[in-house]
Amino acid sequence: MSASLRRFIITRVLLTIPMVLILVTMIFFIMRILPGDPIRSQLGPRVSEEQANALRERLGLNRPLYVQYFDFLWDMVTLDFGTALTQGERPILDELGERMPATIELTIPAIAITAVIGIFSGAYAAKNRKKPVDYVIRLMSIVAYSIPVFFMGLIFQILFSVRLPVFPLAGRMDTLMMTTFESRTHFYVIDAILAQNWKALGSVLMHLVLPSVTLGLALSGVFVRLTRVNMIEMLQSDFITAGRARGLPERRLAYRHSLRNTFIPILTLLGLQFAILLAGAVLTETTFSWPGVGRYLVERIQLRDYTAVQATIAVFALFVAAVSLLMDILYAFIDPRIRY
Amino acid sequence: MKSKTLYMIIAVLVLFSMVMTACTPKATEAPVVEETTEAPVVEETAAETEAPAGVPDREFLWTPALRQAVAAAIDREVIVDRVFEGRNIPAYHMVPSGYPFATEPFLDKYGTRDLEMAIELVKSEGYTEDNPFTFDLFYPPEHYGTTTADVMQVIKEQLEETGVMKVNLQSMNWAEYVDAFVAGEIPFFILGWFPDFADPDNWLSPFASCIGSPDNGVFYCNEEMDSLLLAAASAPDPAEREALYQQIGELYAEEVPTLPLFWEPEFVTYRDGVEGVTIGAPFEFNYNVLSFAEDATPASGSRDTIIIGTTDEVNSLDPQDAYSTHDWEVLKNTGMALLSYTPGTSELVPGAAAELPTVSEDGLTYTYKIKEGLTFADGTPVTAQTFVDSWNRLNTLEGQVSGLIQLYVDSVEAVDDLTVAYHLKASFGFFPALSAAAPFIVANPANFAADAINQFPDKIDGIGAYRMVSHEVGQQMVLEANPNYIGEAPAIKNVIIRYFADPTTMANAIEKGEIDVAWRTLGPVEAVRLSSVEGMTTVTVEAPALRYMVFNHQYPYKPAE
Repeated sequence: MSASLRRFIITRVLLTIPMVLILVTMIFFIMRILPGDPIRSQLGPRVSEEQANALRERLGLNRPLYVQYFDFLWDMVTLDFGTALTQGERPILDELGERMPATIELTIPAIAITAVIGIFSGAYAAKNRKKPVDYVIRLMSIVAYSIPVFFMGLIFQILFSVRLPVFPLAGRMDTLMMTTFESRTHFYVIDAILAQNWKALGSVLMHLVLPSVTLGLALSGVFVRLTRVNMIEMLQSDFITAGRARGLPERRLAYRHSLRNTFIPILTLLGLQFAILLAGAVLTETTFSWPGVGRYLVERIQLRDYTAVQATIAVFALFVAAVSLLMDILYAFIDPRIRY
Repeated sequence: MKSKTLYMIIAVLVLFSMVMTACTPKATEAPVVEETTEAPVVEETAAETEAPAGVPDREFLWTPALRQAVAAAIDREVIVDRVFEGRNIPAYHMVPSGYPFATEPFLDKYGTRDLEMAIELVKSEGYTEDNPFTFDLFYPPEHYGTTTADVMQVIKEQLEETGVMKVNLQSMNWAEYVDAFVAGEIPFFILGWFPDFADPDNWLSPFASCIGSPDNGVFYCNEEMDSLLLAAASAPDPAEREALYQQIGELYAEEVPTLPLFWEPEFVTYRDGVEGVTIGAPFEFNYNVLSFAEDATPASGSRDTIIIGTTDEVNSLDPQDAYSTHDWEVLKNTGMALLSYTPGTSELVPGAAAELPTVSEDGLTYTYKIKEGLTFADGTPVTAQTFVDSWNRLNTLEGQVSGLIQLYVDSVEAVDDLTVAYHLKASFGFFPALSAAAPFIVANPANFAADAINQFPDKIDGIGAYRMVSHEVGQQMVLEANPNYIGEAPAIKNVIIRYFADPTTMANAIEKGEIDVAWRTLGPVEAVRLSSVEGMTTVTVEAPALRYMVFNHQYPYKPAE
């Protein structure tokens, strides 16, 4: 690693600190400006004001706001996210530790499917520009990103699970199998491999198919169009014409030389989409009863669970920062012209 | 670069101070809830009342005549037909018809609808067609299902059909809504109610007593009603109670503290071959009476395991804290209150107690004999002291449910190893029904420490037919037959509760055969669809969930300037 790359990484990591700070500060105050409070939304109308006050005191919500804010900041610095205010007041790290792996396990194959479908059909369409296949692919890509993702999920469930019982309907693993399955990392794929439980691995992978294909397909539309446009531009560039003049085969020109050069915008979007997916997979998670972090965040916002929402957003911010850093570093490897 | 940083810091500081100022008063001060005798503080909101020339000034928005007018103008049967295609049942009293002493006072007084009476009553307050009585009607658009908005629309139409009332519909999200009605900020709104225990008192006192009504935003206080409610609640003689509840019903229809609308049914769907799905009025689903028929094809592939689907979430599994329907269901299957119900009915039978309690002459002490040889699932013996310890947990830990019991119970005493006595604050005749509620389930000290609430225990080794062996939040919970259960061993050894995020997925899951039973909350849309699918049965549960309209009795009358 060059010294300049190291400096770049250090600067980026340091810049993450104010970014996360601003974000969590905004969330801290916005949550409190929103009408409603976690006590009432949790306990409902049956609980007396005395009990509500007792709980408010126990959770520290009756302290002055600035005290709560600085306590929260200090907890963040020490990476102690505290405990949730609702639903059992469990430590947030435990809650996220269970939910985050579920979402990541869904997101990675979804992104992979998006990339494979998006890039290959986009490139193929570009190469066969204005031929029927180009129109078909473009049409399909518009369809893919216009269908609401939960609707696509529902259709897949009915088609490939209820009518044609090929894939399981919802959840992360076979119900009965899960009773004996011991989860250490909460990444079920990893857990199953670690335990060398191949039956469980099969079940986990089968359960991943419908939700990840749904999510992957829904996102692929954008990538088809992005790849196609960039590649068409690339195919018209001088170095391709030069290559063509030298008699290089068209297939090699397209897939080796052009496609490779369109990777920068694709990678950028892929990185952004991955970050968005962490929270944006809510609808897929709901349709497939996937116990992920997107659903968790929505539930907790509705319950006004301040600490849970703050911590989740902070973790997201860190994650987004990490992914965009990774993308920046990857650029240098893909494009030798980029130096830091 | 330096100046850029400086600007950034300044920007952050400005933002910080702005936000700080904006939200400080709201977040640091607990909402003020007024004593029941005083009018709640209300800020000026949208169109509330207009003062027609002939309307005399008054302190509160709602007068008895106006409440009666609303009661007379609403046609429940039309609401049920139009919005629910006849699936819901019109409610003519707060107390469900399956309960002892239930009557239909609203039907007796107003019939199904009396439009002329309504018009006359509103006019008697000085309003006319040109100067109609105008008020806001609030509702939460999602909390009670998407049908709420339609119900509100029909109510608005029916009230405005009088020509002398004008209704402004306002929706509010649930968290905000709860804040608003508890603080007395909204004049007229809808709520729902599930029973805590099977006694009429639980359907009346929370809305019509001076102590209970503010919690539900009613702010109603009437000495006659209060003394009648206390007398009825504490009368030991059933005949006397019946007479008192008859009287309360008549007074309720006259005074209209709240307005019952309809009973919303719950649905349960089970696959062919599943037997024993009986859910009665106390809303109890006993897993231990479930069984598979000879020709059943269990979803799990094993006759030893049944899978029950739900869209509910676990809030707390601590018996001295839990206060929601699903949590109580789990607790009652892993534990046993002093008394239980015969499955599918509201008939009280001994649970952890060996027999029904004996009552002292003054009606203040209920004494229970505990079953001999009762142990927790892990073998720890249960004695009278265990019940005292659980009461102490409830009383000292101040969990969500503590208020419900503290309202009635004064102290608990272990008379001997197998006898426990409950000393009440008044002679509440319904105490046996209350003692069938989940807070009367003893907590195993191995799962629940004496000094802390444990809402998410890893295991529950209770005294019920099952014990909880694992719980993956939001995914599934596994119950296994309790080897030390004092009753008959359940026919199906394992129960898996599978948690779904939405009713459609749950309905697809039962159609596909991934679950054996689809339970709360299937919702009317899926229930109707599943009722025509072969290979399964959908039934309407005879367990009432009430939807009712609330008048805020201390909402101030504000004639327009």
